Amino acid sequence: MRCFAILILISLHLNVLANEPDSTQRIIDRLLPNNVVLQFAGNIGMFSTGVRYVTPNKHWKGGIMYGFVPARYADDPIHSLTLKGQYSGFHREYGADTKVEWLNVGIWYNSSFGSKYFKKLPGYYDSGYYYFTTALNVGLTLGSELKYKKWGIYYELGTTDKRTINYIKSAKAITWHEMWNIGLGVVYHLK
Amino acid sequence: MYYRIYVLLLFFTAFFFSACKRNFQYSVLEVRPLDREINQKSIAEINQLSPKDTFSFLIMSDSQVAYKPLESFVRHVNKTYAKDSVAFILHAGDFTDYGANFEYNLYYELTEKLNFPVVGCIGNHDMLGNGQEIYRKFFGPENFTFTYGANRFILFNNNGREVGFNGTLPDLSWLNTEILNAREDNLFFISHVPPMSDDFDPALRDDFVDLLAANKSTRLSIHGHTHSFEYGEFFNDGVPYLVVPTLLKKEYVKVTVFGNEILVQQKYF
Repeated sequence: MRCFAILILISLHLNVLANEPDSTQRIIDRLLPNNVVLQFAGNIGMFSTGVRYVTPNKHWKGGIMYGFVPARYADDPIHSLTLKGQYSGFHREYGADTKVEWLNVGIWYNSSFGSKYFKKLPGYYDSGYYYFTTALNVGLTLGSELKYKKWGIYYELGTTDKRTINYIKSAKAITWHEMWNIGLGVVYHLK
Repeated sequence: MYYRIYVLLLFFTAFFFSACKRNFQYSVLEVRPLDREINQKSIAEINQLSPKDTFSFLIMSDSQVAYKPLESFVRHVNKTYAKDSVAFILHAGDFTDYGANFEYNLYYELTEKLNFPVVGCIGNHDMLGNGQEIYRKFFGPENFTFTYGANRFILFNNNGREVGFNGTLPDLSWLNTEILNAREDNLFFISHVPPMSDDFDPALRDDFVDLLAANKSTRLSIHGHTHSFEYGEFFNDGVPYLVVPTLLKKEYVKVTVFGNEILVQQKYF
């Protein structure tokens, strides 16, 4: 919720900067996210979907996604929200319609809903009984994105805090590539 | 012009798909075990053995983050023990740290190479997130028994703190029924939390201890959880309690049964 508020505040702030008195249309344009995204896998749901805002210089992206894992791959279906921030670099254009962002580095914060998962240790544990929470996960991603006209596809290699900690604690037994897995996505560019 | 991009993309796709071991992970909380009912499969293997009056079994515990020691343990056990010198291996719980599917899978892949059947009970960490559901699918029921000759092994979930000490773990009525139905000379109990620990449901402790002491066939109650070796009659009732140290310390325990007698040995690797 807090994150939603921050996103809206940022958008409003941009509007104030724009300082165009007449244009409601422009305000709507500003508030409108740049992209709509659908992703498969990548630790934030079997499928996740959401919106993405991109800074005018195209190097920074922020998004919010709802993720879903069906009961077949969970106990009860898992619903989660993910906040995602990315830095995008090495942009190259290939012809008039095609553009590749060769490097997208991102960090995400995922929160799963449900009484089975905790964000804060329940009262029946002593404080510090577990050093982590089950509902919250943080991840890192590294990937590229291809844009053709209004559409785009991307891949990202990702890992999470828990996988990284496991890897660090047992680097000799867990291979480096055990840590990483893939997310694939489709993007529609609204503007 | 475009074909260059396609070739590059193709190359990257091929590279990344081969770079990851399990390409697509849906969530840290996902339930996608690599196998099913591995306890029951091990028990089927144990049932194929021809039981001896004198036999040994090994116990490991709390392997959670101890992947390197687990790897060494597997190698050590396969090298040290001839096929007929050890009947099977028990695990006293905590296969995982976060109760996460990827941890269960790592444990599975490392222990698959063991030359002996492994049977394990659920630990408190294994119940986190969707861990309990993963255990049920991956390992089988949480409360179960198996026999080896004149010996019955009774394994159960006793992680009371994970359910806020609601009086359901351990399930004493199930345990009572199993004890009443057991016709074997020796009973062995395997559960993660030792009754000496604060993490054992305080309201059930006395009844649990009495239940074990009331049966003349009780030989040993085996636990993990506290990570340090302990062995003794902690309730002065003739029932020995054994706490198996964490595998992280590169320790395990060997139990040898001679008829009605047992020998407990602390082992290092």
